Amino acid sequence: MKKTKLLMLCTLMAPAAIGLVACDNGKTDIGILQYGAFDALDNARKGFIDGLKEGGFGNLKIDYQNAQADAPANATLAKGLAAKNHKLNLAIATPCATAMKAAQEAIGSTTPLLFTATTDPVGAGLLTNKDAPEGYITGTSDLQPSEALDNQIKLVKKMNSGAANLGIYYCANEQNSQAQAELAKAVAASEGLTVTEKTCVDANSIKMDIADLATKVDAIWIPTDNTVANNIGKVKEGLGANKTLVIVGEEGMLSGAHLTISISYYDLGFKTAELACKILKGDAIKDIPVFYPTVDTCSYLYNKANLEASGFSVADLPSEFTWKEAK
Amino acid sequence: MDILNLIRLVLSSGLPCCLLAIGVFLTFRILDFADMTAEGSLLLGGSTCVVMLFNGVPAPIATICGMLVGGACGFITGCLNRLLKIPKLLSGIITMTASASLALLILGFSKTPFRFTSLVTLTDQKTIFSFLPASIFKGWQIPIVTSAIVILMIFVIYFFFGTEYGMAIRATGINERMAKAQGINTTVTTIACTTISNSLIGLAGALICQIEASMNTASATGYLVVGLASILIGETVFGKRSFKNSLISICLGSIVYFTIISLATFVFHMPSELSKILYAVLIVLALCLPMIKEGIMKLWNKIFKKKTVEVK
Repeated sequence: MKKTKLLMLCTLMAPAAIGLVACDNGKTDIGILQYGAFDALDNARKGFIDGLKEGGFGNLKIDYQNAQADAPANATLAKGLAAKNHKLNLAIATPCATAMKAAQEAIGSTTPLLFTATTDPVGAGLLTNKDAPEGYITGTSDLQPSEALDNQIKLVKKMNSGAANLGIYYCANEQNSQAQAELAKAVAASEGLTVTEKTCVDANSIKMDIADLATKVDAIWIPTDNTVANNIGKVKEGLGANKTLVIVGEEGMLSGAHLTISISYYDLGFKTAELACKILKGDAIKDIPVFYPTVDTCSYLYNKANLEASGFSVADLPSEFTWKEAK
Repeated sequence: MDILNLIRLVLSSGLPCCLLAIGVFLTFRILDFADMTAEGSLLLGGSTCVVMLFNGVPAPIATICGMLVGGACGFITGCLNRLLKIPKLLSGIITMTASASLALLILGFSKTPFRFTSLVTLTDQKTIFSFLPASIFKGWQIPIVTSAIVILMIFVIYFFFGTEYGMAIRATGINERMAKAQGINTTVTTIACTTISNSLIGLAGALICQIEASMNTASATGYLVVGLASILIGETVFGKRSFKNSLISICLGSIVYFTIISLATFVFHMPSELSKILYAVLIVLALCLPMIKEGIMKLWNKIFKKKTVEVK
């Protein structure tokens, strides 16, 4: 019986061996914990690694873990990374940052911890003084600068000086979107645009709502609304061949829209790497304030295929900005 | 990663999940009630505990309150099923669904004035682990405290299910009609069992939120699978001959589960993107282990018999 039990345990351990892709016994210097396999977070990670190379730390070994939006995995991976004594840890997204902090605090480790793609690090309890972080934690926030929203609305007149009606579309359940819509209305009023506000309660009505709105207004603006962002393809479907400009709140939503002025997660990761280089060169954490994106660090992005499908062309874009095509 | 760190890592992830797994076991196996409330009571237990700690309530009281709130979820599920005659699976799903909003509400009490919140983080509030300072215990405070709680709970559950009332609950799960004929009020026993089961899960939530020093509305997703996997692995590897044996098996199952996951990730460097495949393979293996076991025994006997023949 003892032997069969042993055998059975071995059978259970077998799948672990399946994962044996590369047994790397070299010393790993940087630990990265990422919350999920989302484009924005992947881009932040790529930016971080490229930034490190640019900063002269090209030969670092990266210990990268992805929690796949799974809470138990996130906690376990954080504990594992914390125990490994890396020179530096990076947490991508808020749940990872809080998990890493808890894991490091439990073992009394003060390995420098950087966070990125975290909107409100103070509110999340990562640090209290964002200008001079008091502990071993600092990083970059992905809070959209308020000027970016203003500029998004101002694009409407810049694209078409005759535009008179702006449609604002978001999900009524999301407080965050409501707040953004209020800000947008004020900007639209100062631009002389008449606002038509339309909201949904769930994703089912998006396509029809957009189709309806597109016939009534010259341009539609959508804030960083999670419900709409997750169903951005429906916006594109609803729009059809209408020549209505769709401006969205952030980069990730561009696949179903025309234009955005957005922070770029790649650049954010790159910026985080700059902070990392400072730490690796020996700067004290308290001298490295949390980086908040400014409007100058935002990119002006367009979706070429969607622009052309709706009868616009890249040449129509206001030339005063540097436009980049979304990937 | 050295072996000591790996053991600490496995224990601090696995031990709170022992409570969760025992909770799931009590409904799933003892009562024969596929209870989906688990992730809901874990979330609400954790949220309650974290908010109370945030507002300065002593850790033991906050932990017990987390446990009570978890129990309340189970009570509701039991009542939905027994008093309103909603099917078992559905009543659990209903409670679990409601818990997502309730968590936003509970976590909101960390803000003044009240505001719906999805994340609460503890900064320097005392948790149940603060009694053993991190600077001395270097992370071992988590396994020490958690194992004490787990052992205490195993004893409590073991003795409770040995009493007359506990036996009545077990009888309800085995054959409800027969239990009724024996004069057992099966409505009350069912509700009692879902309540006890979910208080354990609530307690697991309270411990997890203190280990993580935070709770957000997504903190519970994925734990039900861990609980079920622990039961399956535990039962097939360590047996389920008696109630006591089952309880211990399940706890060990949860530890084995986290050992495999941690070995794969930190020793064999499996890309963590593939982890979900590993979970799936693990569960399939755990489910068909009895078959594999039989096959091995047959093979074993064959070889053994052959040898004896040769000897002759």
